[in-house]
Amino acid sequence: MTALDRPAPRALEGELSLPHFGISKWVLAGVLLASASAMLPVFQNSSVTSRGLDLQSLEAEKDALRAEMSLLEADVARLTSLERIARRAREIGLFPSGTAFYVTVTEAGPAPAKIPAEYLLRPSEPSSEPAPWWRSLLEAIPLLN
Amino acid sequence: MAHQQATRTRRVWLPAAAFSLLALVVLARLVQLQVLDHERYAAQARSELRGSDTLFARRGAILDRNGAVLAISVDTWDFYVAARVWREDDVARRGSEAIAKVTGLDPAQLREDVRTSGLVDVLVARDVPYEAGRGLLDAGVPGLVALPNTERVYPGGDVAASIIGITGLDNTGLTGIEAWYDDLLQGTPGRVIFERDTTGSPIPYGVFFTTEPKPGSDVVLTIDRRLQEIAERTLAIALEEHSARGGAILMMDPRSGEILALATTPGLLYSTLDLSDAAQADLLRNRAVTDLYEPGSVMKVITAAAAIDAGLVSADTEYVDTGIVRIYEVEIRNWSDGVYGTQTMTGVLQHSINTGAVFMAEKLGAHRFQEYLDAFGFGEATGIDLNGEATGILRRPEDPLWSPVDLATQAFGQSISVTPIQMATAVGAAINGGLLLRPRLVSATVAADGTAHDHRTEVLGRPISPESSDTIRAMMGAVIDPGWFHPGKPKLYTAGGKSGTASVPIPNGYDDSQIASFVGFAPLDEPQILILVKLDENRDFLTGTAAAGPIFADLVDEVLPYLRVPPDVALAAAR
Repeated sequence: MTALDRPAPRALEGELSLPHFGISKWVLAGVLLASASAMLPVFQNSSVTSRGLDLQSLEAEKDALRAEMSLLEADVARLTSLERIARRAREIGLFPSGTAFYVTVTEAGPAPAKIPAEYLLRPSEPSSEPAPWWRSLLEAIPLLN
Repeated sequence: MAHQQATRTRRVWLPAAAFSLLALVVLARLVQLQVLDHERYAAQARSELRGSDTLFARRGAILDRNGAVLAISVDTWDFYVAARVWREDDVARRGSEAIAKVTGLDPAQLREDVRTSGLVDVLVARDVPYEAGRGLLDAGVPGLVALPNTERVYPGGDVAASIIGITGLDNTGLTGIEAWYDDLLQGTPGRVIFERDTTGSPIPYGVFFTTEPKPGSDVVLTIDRRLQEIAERTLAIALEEHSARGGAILMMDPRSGEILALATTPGLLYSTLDLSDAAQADLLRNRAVTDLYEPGSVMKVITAAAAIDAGLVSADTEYVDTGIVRIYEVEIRNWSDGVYGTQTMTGVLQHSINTGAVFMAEKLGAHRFQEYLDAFGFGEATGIDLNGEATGILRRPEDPLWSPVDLATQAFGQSISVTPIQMATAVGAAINGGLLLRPRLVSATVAADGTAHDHRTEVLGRPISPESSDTIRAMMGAVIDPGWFHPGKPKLYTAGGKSGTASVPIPNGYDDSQIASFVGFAPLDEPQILILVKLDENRDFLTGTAAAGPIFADLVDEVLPYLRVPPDVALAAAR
């Protein structure tokens, strides 16, 4: 009967609890906070370094694009140089023009072509409505006319 | 059990004292290093750790008046090698072979140069093209340090080289527009400071301070590259045809002072430039601005303008030419000893009569004539935007060695030395309504942010009245269209002009050689272009009219249609 008198284990009584190592919750929270505080700068540094790398990569890309742009500008300038245009013109069979003949025309030039009436703006017709009564009052004031 | 008591023997206190002394010495040294000499050693450490470089700003471009690029900078690399890294033979061999592939240098010579230089960083290649250099950087050559740089390129080739000038290795303008507008073109260099490793390479993410460079402004010239090319081509042909030693062709808009083209020979050519050749240094100056010559009969235009403006003569004033004028035992004769009898002042210009010019100068008197020369800008730099401009040489009445003979000879362009740019500016004032305008080569500057600054026409003075200018224009028109053939008469346009054939002065006299020149303008009523043609020491000894006149005429007929000026000869004939 002695056995029946022993208290039942806690689990059997429906109570669940973490093993207790003798560390207070406050100490645990402090450790976690300290760990988080220590890790924060690490994460920040890591992030800054990563961003710095991206930034440098973008800077390098910008420099490369700028350099490419200047090379393209120089290429365009080379391709539009007079020497190159003249060479290309010769290649496609063009040659400098001979003496140009200028004709002086003393007659008056032809009259300008008439625009069909439908395309012309119609002159605005005077309004048939009588002027408002107050307009005559305004016109009567000397300084306003 | 009794312990043996330690006794204070020398074996104890001597080492103790020695260690104490050593500790004191170390302490003292620490105090010296960290306290007393802190700043010095900190500075040394900083200089060891930190590298710095100048970041050259992108140099502005030089454009012609229509926006065509004449000079532009492209990105390049300057490659250095850290000599310490190449101490290992294998590293040096691999590195030199990689560099040689891109630069074309001899790898063995490259290694030898680095080994014997005695420098920390040895410059091995300058201005390596950007793409090729990028590939070399990506290859990760050990010890290779690349610094960005820019190189000046001239897409138009040699066109306008004497005007544009050159830049030095440090991207500073040395001559021409590059030098005159260097402050604007160069921009503001930046600076980078970084931490470096033992090989001298920047440590990634080390302390890094950068002052960004500010790009330079673009400079827009008044030069038209098409007209410049015509001027240079025409001058080259003329020099060969007349066996001349050199020459110049200058085209100017007389209404604004803008130089449209300026060709000079000898002059700078990028294609053959070799600065290691000392003789080529002589080609770097623009002779139309730096070199003097005696203009000869072209000066009669100025003498006539002065006499007419002073109201002393008119175009129709007559005088009798006997072919000779005697001044203090000095006989002054006409060209080719000609005698022309009764002549008007227009006739003086048409026949280029020296005695007629003396007649006008004597009417003016020495001081008044000098006042007009000053008003036309002789004896003073025009202020054109090129370095090394000469002021000219003329003997003034107040000079101790002056004599009335100087007045007489200056009247027809001897005993007075001018630059081509001075002569063109003065004749421009005589025919543009009487305004002396500062000649200029730049029409605008455009900053990197797109802000444009226009260079405006600058009036230096009014030497003669508009009415006098009209008269001179008509007289110069009569020179070219005298009623008989004149080589300087354009086929398509009315024009005015005056030739000059002058002896070349040497110490105590004149040389046998001559300078043939012609200054003219077109159209006659509303001049839009003024052209000066000058041939130095032409061996065929043709006169200014015969040698330079046809060049002027052909240029007018070629250039004015390009400038969209309608031909007016037929219209003038119809009137």
